[in-house]
Amino acid sequence: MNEILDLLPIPAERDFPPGHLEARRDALVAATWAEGARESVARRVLRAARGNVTKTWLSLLGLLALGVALVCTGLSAQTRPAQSGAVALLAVTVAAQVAPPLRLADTRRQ
Amino acid sequence: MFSEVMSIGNRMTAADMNQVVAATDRELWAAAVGGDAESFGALFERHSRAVYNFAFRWTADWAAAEDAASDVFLTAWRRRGNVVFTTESGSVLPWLLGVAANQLRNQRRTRRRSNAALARLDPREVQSDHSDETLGRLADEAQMAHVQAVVAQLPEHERDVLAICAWAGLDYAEAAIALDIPVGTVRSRLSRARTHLRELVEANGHELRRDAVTR
Repeated sequence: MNEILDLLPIPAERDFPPGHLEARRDALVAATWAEGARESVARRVLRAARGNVTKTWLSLLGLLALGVALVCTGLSAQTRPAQSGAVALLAVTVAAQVAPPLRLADTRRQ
Repeated sequence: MFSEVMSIGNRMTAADMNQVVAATDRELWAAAVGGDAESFGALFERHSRAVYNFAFRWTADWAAAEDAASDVFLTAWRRRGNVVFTTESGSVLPWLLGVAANQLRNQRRTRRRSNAALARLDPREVQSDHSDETLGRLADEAQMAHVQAVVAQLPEHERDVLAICAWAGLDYAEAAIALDIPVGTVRSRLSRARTHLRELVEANGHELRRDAVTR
C-alpha cells in the first residue's frame, strides 16, 4: 500500500467541520427513527391486508369445494337411474336370449 | 440492550455513554435493527470519520464527502438486513465502505452524465462555491483532484481496490468484504493497479515524493 501512496500522495484525513458531526448524527438518528416507525406501520398494514387476503382466499376455496361436492352429488344422483335402467335392460336381454332355447327344449321333451 | 435510549431527543447518561462506547459494532447494529435509533447514531459517530475521508478521496470535494457520508449511513440503514461483519474484529466498517464505494461509483456516473449535459447547455466552466472552506481544505481538494486525474485512467475495478486498500487502509480480507469479491481477486487487482499506476505516473512525469506521504 505504501508504494501506491508514495507514487501518489493523498491529503491527510480530516474531521468533520466543527458542529457538523453532531448535526449530521442527529439528522440521521431522526431519519432512521422516522423510517423505522413508518416501516412498522406499513408492515402492520401489510400484515393485516395479507391476513384479509388469506381469509378471502380460504373462503373462496371453501365455496369452490362445496360447489364441486354439490355438483358431484348431483351427477351421481343422475347417473344412478341410468345404471339401474342399464341393469334392467341387460336382464331383459339375457332373459330374451335364454328363454327361446329353454322353450325349444320343452317342446322336444313333450 | 439500549432500549433505555430509544427515543430521539433523550439525552444519554454517562453510564449509557460508557455502555455504547464499550459495545461492539455487532451489538450496536443489533440494537439499531431492534429499533434503537441512538445505537445507529453511536455507529455513525464511530465510523463516520472513516467514511467521510473515504468519500473525500473519491470526490475530491469535502462538502460532497460530508453529504455522501450521511447518504452512506442512510443507505446502510435501509440495507441493514444484508450487513456483513469482519470475522476477526466484528467490525462493520469494511461493509460500510463497500456501501460507500457502490454509492460513489453510481454518483460519479450520474455526475459525468449531468456534467456532459451542462457542458452542452453552457460552455462556461461551472464554478463551485468554496466560501466556507478553509485554505487547507481547498489545497486538499486541489491535490486530490490531481490524484483523481491520474487514478481515473485505471480500469474501474482496479480503482475500487486501490481506494479501499491504499486509501482506506483495509487489509485484503476486509477489502474482500467491502467489494464482495474473493481475497485472491483483491490481491491480483491490487497488484495490477500498482503496476498500472507506476506506468501512469512515469508517463505523466510525476516524481516520487516520499516526504509528502501522509499515511
